[in-house]
Amino acid sequence: MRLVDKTWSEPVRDPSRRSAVLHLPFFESDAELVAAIRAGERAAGAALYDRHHAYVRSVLTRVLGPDVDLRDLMQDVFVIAVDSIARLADPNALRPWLAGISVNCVRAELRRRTRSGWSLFSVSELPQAAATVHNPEIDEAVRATYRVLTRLSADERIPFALRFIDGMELLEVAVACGVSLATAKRRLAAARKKFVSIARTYPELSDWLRGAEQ
Amino acid sequence: MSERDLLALGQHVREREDHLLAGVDPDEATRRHLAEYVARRPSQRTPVRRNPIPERWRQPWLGLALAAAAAAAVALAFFTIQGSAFSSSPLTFSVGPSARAGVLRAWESAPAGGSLPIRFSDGTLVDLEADARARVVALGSAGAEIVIESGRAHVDVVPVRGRARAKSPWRVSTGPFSVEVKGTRFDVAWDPAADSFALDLFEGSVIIKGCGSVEGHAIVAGQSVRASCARREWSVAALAASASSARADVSTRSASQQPPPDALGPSEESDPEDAGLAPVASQRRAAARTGAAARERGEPERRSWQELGRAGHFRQAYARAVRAGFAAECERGSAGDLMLLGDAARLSGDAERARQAYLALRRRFPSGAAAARAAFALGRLSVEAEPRAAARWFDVYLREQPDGPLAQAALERLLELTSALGDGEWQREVARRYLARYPSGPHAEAAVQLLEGAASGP
Repeated sequence: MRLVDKTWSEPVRDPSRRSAVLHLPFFESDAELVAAIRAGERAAGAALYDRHHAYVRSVLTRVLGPDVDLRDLMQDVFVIAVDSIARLADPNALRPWLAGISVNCVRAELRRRTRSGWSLFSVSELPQAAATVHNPEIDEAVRATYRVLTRLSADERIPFALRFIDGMELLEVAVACGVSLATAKRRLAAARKKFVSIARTYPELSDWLRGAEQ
Repeated sequence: MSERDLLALGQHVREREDHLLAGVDPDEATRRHLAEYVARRPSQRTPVRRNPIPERWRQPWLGLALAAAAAAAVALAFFTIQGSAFSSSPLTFSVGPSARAGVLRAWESAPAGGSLPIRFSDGTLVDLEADARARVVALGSAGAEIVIESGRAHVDVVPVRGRARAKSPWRVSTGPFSVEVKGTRFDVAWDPAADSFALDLFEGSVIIKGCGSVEGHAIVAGQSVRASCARREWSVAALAASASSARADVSTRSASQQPPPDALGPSEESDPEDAGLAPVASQRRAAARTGAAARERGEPERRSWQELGRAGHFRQAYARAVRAGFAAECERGSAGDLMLLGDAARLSGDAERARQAYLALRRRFPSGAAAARAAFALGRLSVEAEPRAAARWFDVYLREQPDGPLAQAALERLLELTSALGDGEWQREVARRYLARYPSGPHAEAAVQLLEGAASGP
């Protein structure tokens, strides 16, 4: 027996108010946005995502590559950001702070992948595999670049991707990785040396290497 | 390679990626969840007072008095609350039959042929049914928040008395809906593809919010909700009275602590009221009715092997299926039953009967995802004893479900097996397929090395 059966539709209580200007919350600066998140304003959560999802996605893509489904990682980055928003010292520095959280999430993901590596003969239940999407628009040089990057450690791969693929300045790389400028430089130098050494074995990257050797 | 060359290569990669990223739509579900999440969190605007006691109050006698008052308050709270809520430490949770420690915000998926229990330290159980995916996103002292991305879950929340409940209630979010829970028992399901929300409430009351409903809709025991945000549909119907009362008798909370009841075959009952529900739920209710009827007749409660299997009691489920006649079960069960039967046998160490169930599934239900999953399971079963047969089964899975959820795992196992078998041509073919499909996958480096070795070989 049906107790209630209704269809959602907005009732128009006052026909004279049928057309009205709806004022949506607007946060002019990141500092305002951070204050609104701290105050628990619903619109601030959506605004945080609207304003920064493309940036966070691009940081994650630079490190992991374009074929990876980033949905779970994106969620992790934003939930962690909201959880720790009280610790953000300079609300105007929201974007580099999000880059730092993204880097931490990526590092955890890379280490998880390394751990799950070849141990697939277990009879226990399968680990949740990260979904990947094959995209023909990505050319061989891009694929080869990420194949080379998979052979770098997380601490080498991340600064390399941020510096050379994302185009961050050295100081930005250091801030995003949460290390000193000197450490960032040292890791970048090691990553660069290793990358070039491995890249020489990839014919897809030979044009780029030849250009360098001439 | 100079820095300028590396930057040029990086720019090339970046431009390609930017081209792709420009076509990516925002994830509306994440956006909505974030809005809800921010709204539900306590305000963090108030600055933390490092020194909450004013200077003039810092007298020794006052400290003692305050300590005594605090102790009295704690004692009063203890006797008032009388439950698990007196502890201010957050709940913890474990996942799966092996009770491995749960990780906050980590996704958990129930296997294709069975359920995945998530047990909380206060006794609350969230039992994910086959293929359901969920994660715990927040833990409080008397509640938690769970996000169900897709699939059906049975939720059995232990009620908490006192104010602690109000501080950190239980909340289940799924799609655009959220369910506020007060100590209750219900089934909830979300199908993102069909934009379909379903909730069957067996005990207690809940408030359902979301999809434009700010105040929420109060639902009481015995009611069933079906809703779709996209279609703007919302209906509340009565659960069948018998099903409701009988379901209340099936306590999954206590099941794990009870000895297994006597053998019981799967129920053949069906209920027209269950037409819109998943088969698993109707089977559970039918079994619950059987249990209630048995109790009325003074007989001990009985649970079918399917119920035991879905609750994660694989050994008991397997033993019961054997007593009921394993071969007969293979001939009468549904595809889901047969997958569960095979898994129960496999996890009980009987590879031969597991193979029998999976092969029966493929023979009786030769097309579809379940048959492919059985092929994968057959491959997994044969890895050590018959690696060549295992490789063929993984290949079968990939042919039948090239984009299936286990495709990457099947390809990786195939790569490993062809390496072990020393079948060079097959191995290279699999390596090429793997790299084309998963260029950043965990086996990509090995696949590259394999192909490079082949190219530079004699």
